[in-house]
Amino acid sequence: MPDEPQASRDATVADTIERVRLEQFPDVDRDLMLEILRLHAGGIVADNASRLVDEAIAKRAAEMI
Amino acid sequence: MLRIKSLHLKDFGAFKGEQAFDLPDGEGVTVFYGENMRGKTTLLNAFRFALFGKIIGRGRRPVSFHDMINWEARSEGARSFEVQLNLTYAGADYRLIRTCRPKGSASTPIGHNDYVADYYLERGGHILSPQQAAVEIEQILPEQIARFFLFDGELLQEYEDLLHGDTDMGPKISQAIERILGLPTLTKSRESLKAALDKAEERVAVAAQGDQKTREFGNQLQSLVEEREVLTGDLFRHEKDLEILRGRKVAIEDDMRRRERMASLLDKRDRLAGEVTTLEGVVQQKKDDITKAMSPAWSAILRPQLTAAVAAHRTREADLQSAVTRAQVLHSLAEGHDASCPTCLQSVSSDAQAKIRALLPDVGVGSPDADQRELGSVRRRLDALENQLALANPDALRVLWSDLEARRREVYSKTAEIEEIGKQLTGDAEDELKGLRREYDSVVRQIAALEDGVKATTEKLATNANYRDTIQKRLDKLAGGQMESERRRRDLASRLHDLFKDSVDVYRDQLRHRVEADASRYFKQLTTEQDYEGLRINDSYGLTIMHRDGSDIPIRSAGAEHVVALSLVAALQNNAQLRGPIVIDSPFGRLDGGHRSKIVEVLPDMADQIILLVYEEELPPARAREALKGRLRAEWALERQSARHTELVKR
Repeated sequence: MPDEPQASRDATVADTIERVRLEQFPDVDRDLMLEILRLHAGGIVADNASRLVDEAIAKRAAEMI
Repeated sequence: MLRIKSLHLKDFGAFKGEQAFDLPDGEGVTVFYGENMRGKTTLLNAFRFALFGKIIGRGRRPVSFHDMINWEARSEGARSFEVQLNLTYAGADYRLIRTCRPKGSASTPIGHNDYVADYYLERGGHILSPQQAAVEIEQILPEQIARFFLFDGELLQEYEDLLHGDTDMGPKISQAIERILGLPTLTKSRESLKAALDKAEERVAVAAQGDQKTREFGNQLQSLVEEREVLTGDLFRHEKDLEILRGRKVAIEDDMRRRERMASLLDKRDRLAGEVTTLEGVVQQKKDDITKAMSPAWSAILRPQLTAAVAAHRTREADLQSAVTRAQVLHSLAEGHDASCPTCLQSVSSDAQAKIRALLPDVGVGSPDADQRELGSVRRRLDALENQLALANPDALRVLWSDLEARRREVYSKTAEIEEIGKQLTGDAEDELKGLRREYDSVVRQIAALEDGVKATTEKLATNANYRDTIQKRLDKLAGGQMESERRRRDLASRLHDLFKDSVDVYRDQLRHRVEADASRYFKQLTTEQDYEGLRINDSYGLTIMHRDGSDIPIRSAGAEHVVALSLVAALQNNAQLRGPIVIDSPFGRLDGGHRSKIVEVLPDMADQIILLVYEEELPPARAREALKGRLRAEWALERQSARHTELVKR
């Protein structure tokens, strides 16, 4: 069936946001970005996701000192 | 990836007692053959019931649990039914068991509300808590996207709503499509980050207010944060309204494009009708000509005699003409003064004139007058004979008939074209087109007003941000440790929010292009119409068939809708974040043999596991085996035991 190269099939959410990060936001920490993605994986948001995002940002901000 | 290992039924619908089937490990298609009323749709519902506790009937209406207990079993005392689904997901084995039984309070259940459906989920042999089980099922197969895995012809028909912005179903399907494609991961992340950013900015203001040196700036910052919240709220509302209006505008544009083609069809129909009227007049004239030509047609049998008579008369005419001319010359030589010979131009003497007079015949037969009279008579007969000969010409009649037939064929052809156009025209196309244009103008004006509002609010927010930035810079010069850390936190949240915001736009655009390309590719493989170039996607993931001349196909049959929907489902499977089995109930009902064969060949590429529920006339086993070859994994039959009892039998 569609014989498009597998490479383009792999352009997942993570691949896309990583490309945008590299092109426009290289200063943003990759691990933190992936952690936020993981907290919202599959579009399912845990009740404490907002708090966890806030804490992850605070932790990373503290490490930047 | 989700894979089904087996399904177990107990007194579920037509399936009496305990019955089960396993699905082979490899990739491919498992076909279940069953005549009408044997339980194909019930099998599809068994998957729905196990996963979501729902059973859907015709017209998407829920089916009462009370009616789903096998009738024979119920008459023998059964009061419950159960479905067990064994599956693997993300490397783990799951067992999902859902049981429907009467509520404790219902001693004699009589309707749906007298039943309760409980379930439990095991992972790796361990029973999960109800909360954990709900989360896991939502991850394994969210109900919102179940339509792409469990479907029938009726569900496929709903995808047409994606082309119409004014339906309730369209936006729901669009959301489901974005869900299966993984967009919510980004949009939910963006929302969480916006909340984190707002909190971070508030914390900066609060930290500033807590210090004597920065209190004044802290107060100003707090005011600006509050103003920003109000402005952000306004902006959110305006953007939401704009999104709705833009969606409406797109839908109207699609509608207008389709209807403009309608208008051109109307023009064409009117032109053809005029041509048909003219042609019918010509046909009548031809008929009259033929009627006239047919009257003397009997004389065709005398044609050889007539031809001979004409030839004889022509000879006689020539002889008489010659005699008359000779007599005239002799008379002029005999009677003339200073006559000269017309051949040698010499003068004719008196003697010679006398001899010529002697040669001249007397009055009577052979005299010049008699020859002249006979010549006139011969010519009149010749005219009459030639007229009769022309009327008796069968070739001329054949030409008239042939011409009449050609005109009639032209009338039939144009009439058929008019009928074909008529099928594509619905309602009062012209009035509807005008109404749409009015609505379009109104929507455009509302969008313009809202865009002005958004622009003004955005400018205020930018000004607000500038003020906040200015204050922040002043605070930076004064701030100590706490302020510094809060500022870093805010900056980081801001950058992350911008990153996710931009990524949503990039990813959505990317998805639409990928789905359009894949759906077009599938469509070209599935359709038997060579003039179709592919599919074009709109913002709602609705697909329009494109003709190879670049125009849209405005109206499509139920069969074409089916093929487009299958192309979309296949494209979504190809791009989905979540892969799983497809269970299809009677997918060929509206399709001809050519399309059926093509779809059967393509099916195994749509998913690793395909369960096909068909009746044998819809897909004869021989055709399935030939088309699927090694990708046909197993065949089952839904065998009738009684009107209320079907058995699953492996072939």
